[in-house]
Amino acid sequence: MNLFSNSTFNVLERGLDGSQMRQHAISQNVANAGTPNYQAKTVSFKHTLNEAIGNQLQATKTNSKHVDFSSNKPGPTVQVNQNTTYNHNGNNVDIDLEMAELAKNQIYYNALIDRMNGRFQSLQTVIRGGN
Amino acid sequence: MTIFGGFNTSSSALTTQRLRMDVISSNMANAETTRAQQVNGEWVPYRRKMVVVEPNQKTPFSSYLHTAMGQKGEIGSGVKASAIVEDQNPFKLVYDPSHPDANVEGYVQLPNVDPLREMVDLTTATRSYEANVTTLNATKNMLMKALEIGR
Amino acid sequence: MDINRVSSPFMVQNQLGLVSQMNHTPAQAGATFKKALTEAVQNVNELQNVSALKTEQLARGEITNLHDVMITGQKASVALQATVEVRNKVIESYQEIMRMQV
Repeated sequence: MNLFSNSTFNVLERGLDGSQMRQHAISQNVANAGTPNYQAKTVSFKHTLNEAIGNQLQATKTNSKHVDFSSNKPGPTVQVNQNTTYNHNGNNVDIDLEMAELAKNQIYYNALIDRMNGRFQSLQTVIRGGN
Repeated sequence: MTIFGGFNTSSSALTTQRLRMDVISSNMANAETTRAQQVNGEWVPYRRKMVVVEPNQKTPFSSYLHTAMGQKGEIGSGVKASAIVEDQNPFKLVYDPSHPDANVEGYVQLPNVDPLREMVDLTTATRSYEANVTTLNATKNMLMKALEIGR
Repeated sequence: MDINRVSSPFMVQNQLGLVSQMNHTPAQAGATFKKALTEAVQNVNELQNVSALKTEQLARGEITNLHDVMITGQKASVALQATVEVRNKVIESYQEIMRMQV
């Protein structure tokens, strides 16, 4: 009997983890918005969500020596944006973009928490037998 | 990085921007100071000061450890002011024979402070400070929301 | 579509129940129930332990994300509620049986 083996719980948890890491990256980018030669960082965690649901992209292998798609990335990954330049001092933080990302990330995080609460409340309603 | 890592990042930036504002205030206050320090018995005017800012790197060992543990990139932990340096541009020369620090030709060396430039820097520092306050509040709201789990 | 199966799920279960009833002595049934209950209690205990550990880490400042602690705590709490509720139901049914006129 496991009440929480549902994939929804896993997805919500991975989403919260990724969202918090993204928040940290945004804080770091905004903090370094004026630092020379600083390059903006982005966090991607789509693959962790897919792993939580269990539908990973499988490589079709016709030979045992073929390599799987699965890259051994356990958690959210951090990428450094090296392609753009925004300032003459080698800094590429776009502060407006970061602020938009901040707003998006906050709404995402709050929505995930609300859904989490909803799941817990449903479980509690069932346990109490509808009382 | 603990739960307050985001706070530390933002607060390091707030500290740095405050320091920049302090340095700008100092520059503005000393825009006319002709006797800032004495070199070989002669008074030298105030030199404009600047803050050198760099990302707050973690210790090299932990970053190697992170790489070895398969964590590809890592998010740093904020920003730090590594030094306050003096602007080496030449002083302004103004013809004012009645000035007590005028030289024999009647020229006075004034600090290499440009008030317009300082105002621009001040605006940049203020805006950056505000942006960091916004991220700090956002991080705080997220933590408060996390505390609501199960309410 | 197999209409029978959809319309009467109880029939299948009843048949299964009959089969298992015939295979189990009361002692075996009791043992199975005991095993299920013990496992459930152990599961709850484990969740509580994990929650206590995370709370301790939180107090020591070793936790990286707050939501993890909150979710673990909530999971432990819900599992405990479920177990207590099951225990109440079991005791209720025991008392119901004891009140029966023989």
